[in-house]
Amino acid sequence: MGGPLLRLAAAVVLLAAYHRWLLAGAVPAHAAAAVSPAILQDIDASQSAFSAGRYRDALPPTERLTAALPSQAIYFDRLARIRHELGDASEEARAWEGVFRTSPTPADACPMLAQAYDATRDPARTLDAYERCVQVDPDNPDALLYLGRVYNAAERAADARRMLERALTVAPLYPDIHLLLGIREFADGHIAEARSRFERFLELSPGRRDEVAVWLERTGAGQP
Amino acid sequence: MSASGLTFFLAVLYWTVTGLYGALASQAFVQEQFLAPRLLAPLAHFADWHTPIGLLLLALWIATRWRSSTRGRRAVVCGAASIWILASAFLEFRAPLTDLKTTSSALLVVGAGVLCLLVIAAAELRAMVHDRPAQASNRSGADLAACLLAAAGLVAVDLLPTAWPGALTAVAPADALTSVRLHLLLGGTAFLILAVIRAMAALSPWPAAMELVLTTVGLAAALSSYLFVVVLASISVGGRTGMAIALGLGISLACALSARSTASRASSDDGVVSAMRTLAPGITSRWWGFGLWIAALAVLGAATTAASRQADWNFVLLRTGVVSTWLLALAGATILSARFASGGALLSFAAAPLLLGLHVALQSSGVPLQASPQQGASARWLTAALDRAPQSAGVSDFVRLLLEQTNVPRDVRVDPIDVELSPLVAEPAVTRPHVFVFVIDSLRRDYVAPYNPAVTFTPAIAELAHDSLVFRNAFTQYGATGLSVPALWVGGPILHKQYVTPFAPMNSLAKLLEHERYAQWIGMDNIMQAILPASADRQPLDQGVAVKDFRACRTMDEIRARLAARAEDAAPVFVYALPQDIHISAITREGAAAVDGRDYGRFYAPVASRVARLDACLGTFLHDLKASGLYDQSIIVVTADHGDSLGEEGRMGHAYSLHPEIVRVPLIVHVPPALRAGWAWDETRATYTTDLTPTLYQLLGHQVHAPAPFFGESLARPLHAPPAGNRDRMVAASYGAVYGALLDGGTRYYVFDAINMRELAFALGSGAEPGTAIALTPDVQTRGMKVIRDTVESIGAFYRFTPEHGADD
Repeated sequence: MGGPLLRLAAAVVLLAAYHRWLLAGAVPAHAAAAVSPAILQDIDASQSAFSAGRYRDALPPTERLTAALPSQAIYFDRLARIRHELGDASEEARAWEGVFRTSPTPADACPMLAQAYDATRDPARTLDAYERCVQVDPDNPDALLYLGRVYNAAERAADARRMLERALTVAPLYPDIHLLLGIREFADGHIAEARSRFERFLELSPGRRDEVAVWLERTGAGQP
Repeated sequence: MSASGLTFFLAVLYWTVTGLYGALASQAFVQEQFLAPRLLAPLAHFADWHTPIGLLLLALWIATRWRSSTRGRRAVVCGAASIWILASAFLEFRAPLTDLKTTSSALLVVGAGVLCLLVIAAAELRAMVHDRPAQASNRSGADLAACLLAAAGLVAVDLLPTAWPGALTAVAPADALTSVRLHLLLGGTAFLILAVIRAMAALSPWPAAMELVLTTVGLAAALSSYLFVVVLASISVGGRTGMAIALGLGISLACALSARSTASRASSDDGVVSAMRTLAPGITSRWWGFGLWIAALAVLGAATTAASRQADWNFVLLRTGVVSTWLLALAGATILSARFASGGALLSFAAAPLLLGLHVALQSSGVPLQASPQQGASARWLTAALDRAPQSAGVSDFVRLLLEQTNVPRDVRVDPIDVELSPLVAEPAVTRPHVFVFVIDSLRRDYVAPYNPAVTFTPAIAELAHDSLVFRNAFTQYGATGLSVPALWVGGPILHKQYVTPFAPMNSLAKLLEHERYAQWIGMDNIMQAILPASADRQPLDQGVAVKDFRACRTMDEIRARLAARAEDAAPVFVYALPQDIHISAITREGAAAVDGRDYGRFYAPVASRVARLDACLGTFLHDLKASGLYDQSIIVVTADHGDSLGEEGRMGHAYSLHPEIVRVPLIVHVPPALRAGWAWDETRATYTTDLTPTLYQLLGHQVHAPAPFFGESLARPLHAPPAGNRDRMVAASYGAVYGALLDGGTRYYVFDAINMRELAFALGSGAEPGTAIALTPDVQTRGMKVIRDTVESIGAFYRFTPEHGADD
């Protein structure tokens, strides 16, 4: 192909093309989506009102943001907190569902999601929310403990025991798990096991004797 | 390799390391944190023995040249040796490597390195006797074949460390294909550069000599870029100074390597091949030799990858390995290509756009390049290079602000200001608790039980946490010790300079200790030496122990012994220790293995086992305190100056990174029950290491008035005061222009990295996981940049620092 001049020209042109297509023209996958001025206004309004504790003012722009940017968990999170402050548990739960659906860490919505359903006095949804929390964060002792507590309340003894025992393997030094498991053992008639759990609770958390005093008494702990 | 070749390489290595040492020492934090405390042992020994090593190498260099040289060459060798000796004498008396106290003396060392490399180049240079007919200048086909062979070799080198049995992750087919795609593009680029060199040389009357010169220019550009982008950027040496160092070292090194190739008997009539001969052995001119060479590079790549799993700044090591293998593979393939016939331009020039077109087509048809942790180091770096976000408007001003306010050089004089958290006029408190502050260097929050239920190896810390305050959302103010510790003592962010001296006027905690007449038992590491004023009440801990050898068990034994011997009516004690047990440099030195041979599951055993050891000693110490009745008369703080990356996406250590695992720290504070009951506490709010000093002021009865809005806040608040709201706060790297903003009570985290020009966003949950990368939203970006800009400007104004605009940009 031609002489050196032609080769030089071809090489320079191709290098320029490489530069143009590989570096200067590269469009990164993570580039932020274009955002309209109206949305930017809502972002400012939502943030400033929320930070100042003006929850009623923060509500409309935040609702618009969740509609305009439905994949951004941060606005659902803010909306849920606003609803919580305004005392609207059912809408709060809906917003936490948004967080749960869109957040890369859905466990961020826990346990508030379940607590919001609890506040609406909807035990089925409360239970379902706690179960989902355990599903997304299976090693979280709080999630396991909450679910164990709800199973206990629903008189699902086997499930409660399974959940609490799992919590105990994850966090053997978490006093509340021992307390709840002790109560479960007591309910199942395993008095000696219950007593040992209550004693362990007291050992791990000596300042909380009041919480366990009645159980210790009922299981005869400390008596010869 | 001949004896003269060996002494040439040793001489070049010696002066290159000398130059790089000067470049490292020119940066205040490297000098203060790594060179002065001798943390980098090989470099410390090199500095100690610099002149004797140099003279020995000089003697060998002369000896291997003298007998085979003509009279004229001997004169050249004598001249070069004279300059070498003069440079050594100059460094010995004017800028000894062991005592580089100013930036200018460090830059003199760089200058000496550059000068001596050029002198070696001049001494090695021979006149080129070969040349070739102009019609042989069209080596396009051979060059393309060389570049594609090098690309194929690089794919093998890149995949081997991940495909090797026992590797951390298995290589995925998609990652292997991405590696092929990226290295073909790299090969295509290399071919076009060679084509430019060949064509330009062919236009001159001496094509072979011109090829040698132009290849040297290309090599110099590659080495300078590597030094500027990889090495110097990693220690925040940029601007004109960084450019000058990179060009000086890159050009002189390239000249020395090319000059050596002219001395070789194998010098050919191909200037490109000649220039590359110094970088690869002669056996690469055969197919089997080239195969062996690629296998050797694969071993080098695997070794670099393995070494980088234990080292801080591991990305520098990885990228150095990558650049080395790129150059060495290309050199080997170029030497092999001497076997190939000339010609083939049409096909070669058609292949180059074809490779680019294929990539563009894949990119736009749903197969974009995507970073993956399973990629090899080379492919990962290339992916990152091709995936840079375009800069938005206003970012350049923001970057300029950050660069001006970061790593203020030692030679820039900034006078200290008087930082006063409280007037300290009242008499010392009647009842003063003992205070024990254990700042465990590099301790991650998810490696201690109170923050991660999966941790079973810190029972003592768990026990301490039971009757202590456990701040679940705690952050360090700075992502490395250099500024984190001074900021903790000041009680707020400080000017990004190591250090404003005298530091004492700014040291709020030291003032409090003097005022309250505490007996101070302090581990006097190099930072404490710089930031503490003299005090008659201070007794150093770990006296006579090198800083790198500070270990929690030894220190706690010493504290226990001193407490046992202490008179009952003596002044209360303030203890501060910064044990180095789990610092990555200590682990690298001691060997990255569990110290007790136990299995720590998914935890990084070298760290987990040392945490367990440290925890056991803490347990003994706490037991002693309880037995002597001091436990409930003491404030005990267990925290860290920063966390550490332990393999997340290939990262190790902390360097200037600000990822969540580095900025999140444990913060456990035991307060005597009577004192604790007098205050309200919120353990869930976002807290910072710089909140500790204001808290101690408050607990000792001194109402804190923050001297500036960016200062730390007391963790204790009056019982009936309303809870303080979470304000968005800035964190920063100690060693580079990387800044972060913690938003929404520390649940959202924005990072602006002005070194690599990238932005990151994370969601920070309350569980054990340090954080999760999320898409950057306009909200997080806007607010994050605002928090950083406002805080950086306020810090500059508060400490009365005005950068000289345009001085080094």
